[in-house]
Amino acid sequence: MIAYKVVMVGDFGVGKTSLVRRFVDNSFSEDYLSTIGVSISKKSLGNSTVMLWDIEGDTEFKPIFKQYLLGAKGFIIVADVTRKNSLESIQKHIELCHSIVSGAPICVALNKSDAPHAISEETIKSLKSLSPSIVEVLKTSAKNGDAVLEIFYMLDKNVSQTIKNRS
Amino acid sequence: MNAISKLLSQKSNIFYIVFDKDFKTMEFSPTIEEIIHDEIEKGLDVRESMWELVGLEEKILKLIEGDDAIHFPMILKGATYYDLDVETFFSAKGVKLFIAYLIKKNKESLSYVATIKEINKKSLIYETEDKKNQEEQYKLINKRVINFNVDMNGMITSANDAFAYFFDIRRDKILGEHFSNFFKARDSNFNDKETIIFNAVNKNDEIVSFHANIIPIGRDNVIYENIIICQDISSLKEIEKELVFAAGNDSLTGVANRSQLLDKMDEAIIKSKNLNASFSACFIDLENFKLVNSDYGRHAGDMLLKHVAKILSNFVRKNDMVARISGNEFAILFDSISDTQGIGVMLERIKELAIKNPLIYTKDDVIKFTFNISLVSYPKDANNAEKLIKVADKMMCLKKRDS
Repeated sequence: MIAYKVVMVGDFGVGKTSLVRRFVDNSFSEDYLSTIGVSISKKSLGNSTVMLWDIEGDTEFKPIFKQYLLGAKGFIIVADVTRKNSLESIQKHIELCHSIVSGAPICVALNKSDAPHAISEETIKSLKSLSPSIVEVLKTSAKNGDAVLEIFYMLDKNVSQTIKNRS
Repeated sequence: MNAISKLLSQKSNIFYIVFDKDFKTMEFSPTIEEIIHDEIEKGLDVRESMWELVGLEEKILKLIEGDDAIHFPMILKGATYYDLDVETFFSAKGVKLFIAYLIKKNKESLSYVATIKEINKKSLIYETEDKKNQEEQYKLINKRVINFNVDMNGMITSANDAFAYFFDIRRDKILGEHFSNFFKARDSNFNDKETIIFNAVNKNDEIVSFHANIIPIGRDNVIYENIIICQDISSLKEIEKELVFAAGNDSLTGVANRSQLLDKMDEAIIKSKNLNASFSACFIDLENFKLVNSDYGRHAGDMLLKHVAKILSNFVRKNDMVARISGNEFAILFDSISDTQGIGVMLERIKELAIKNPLIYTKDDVIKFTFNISLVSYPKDANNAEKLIKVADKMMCLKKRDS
């Protein structure tokens, strides 16, 4: 059994907490309760246990506290498909993750895909090409559960394999 | 060290867990279950209860080599916020151990959390609503600003909703029509122009003026169409009217000023010359006006001037002109009255006006006034407007001196 840390990174209000809640408890709430600081959840996935660090989102006046990213084995960068600004921040978040843990695998969740949006396959392709560390870019919906398990399992598979290879 | 830590945890919101380099739990605060809800037991892996330490093993072990303490602020567990610090210390047996402090946040910190949450909530609403609001605003603007495209011959090739709404016409009835069927301009060709002024009659038969920007569109230096953006400038026309009025009228009383009176007298002179006729004007001095100002104040003086202008305006005929030519001096230019008898009657009635219409300034202050009047006639007294006024002034001075 291996245990490792994954950090959810993204702008404020993109649905990081909702993705964690959907993944860990299979629950969802429409109410937006901004995360302040960090909330840590544990989830067992077969042979591994993931510690999910749901950190305070990036805002104009309060950047992400880098220390929270220490020791992470993987990252899920979350953006809101309905908010252009959050999509434009993905590059910045990739750079932040790699400044703390160089080369760590990243999955990008384009969340709130249940809402009307204009994300094309080309956009997804261009996001994938932002970094070789990007394992997958998926349109997710914490509201209806679309691709939520998929993205966490995808990252788990990649991280577990990396850990096994190192040991 | 342990004694101090125990004391701290009893006295404050600080809790601790001690563990060794194999991450085995050695000791912990007796009240730690306030924060840590997972099973905690001596000898168990500290990471079973302190998930925060997972992934930090390398960093923690480096503390032995003298690395800085590890600090994580604002960790939320249940409804409790705490800061986590991990440091090293030497046990009584001289073994280097690790101690994790969990410092529960005070009420002030929680109020800060609530404030930030509220700010973030509002920011999110603002950001998500912003796009929607922009679309709504665009629609509202589009309803007010008419725009259309015309080809180089002036034929309309497209038009927005505001165009159709303004003229109350279906859009398919607009396309293919020449723009001059809707908008009148001095020049029906606006190629090479950047702006133009249009007039158009709206669905309520009102004439509306537009300032239009002309934006040429083309390819390879060849212009094939123009976009016309029309902005309603009716309000500017209103302002223009106000400016014209202000130039010719007295700002306090609203009656004509000296400049307009002179113009009107010049017109009357030309008319009289052409018809071989004559006309008269009377000049009215509001007597003892200075006393009103000094006894009742300037406001009362202004009220009196307005009152006089009003009663004179109500008295004269439609084509006569009342003017205020200086501080307390008014004039009436009579249209087509020149016979001595008729004028005499008129002057008597003007004098009576003053007596019959005192200014009721307040319930207790009734301001009485009288007029000193002089009369001049063209061409008898002078042959131009300025000279007529001078003669009237002279007469007024003589009357004042005699009285």
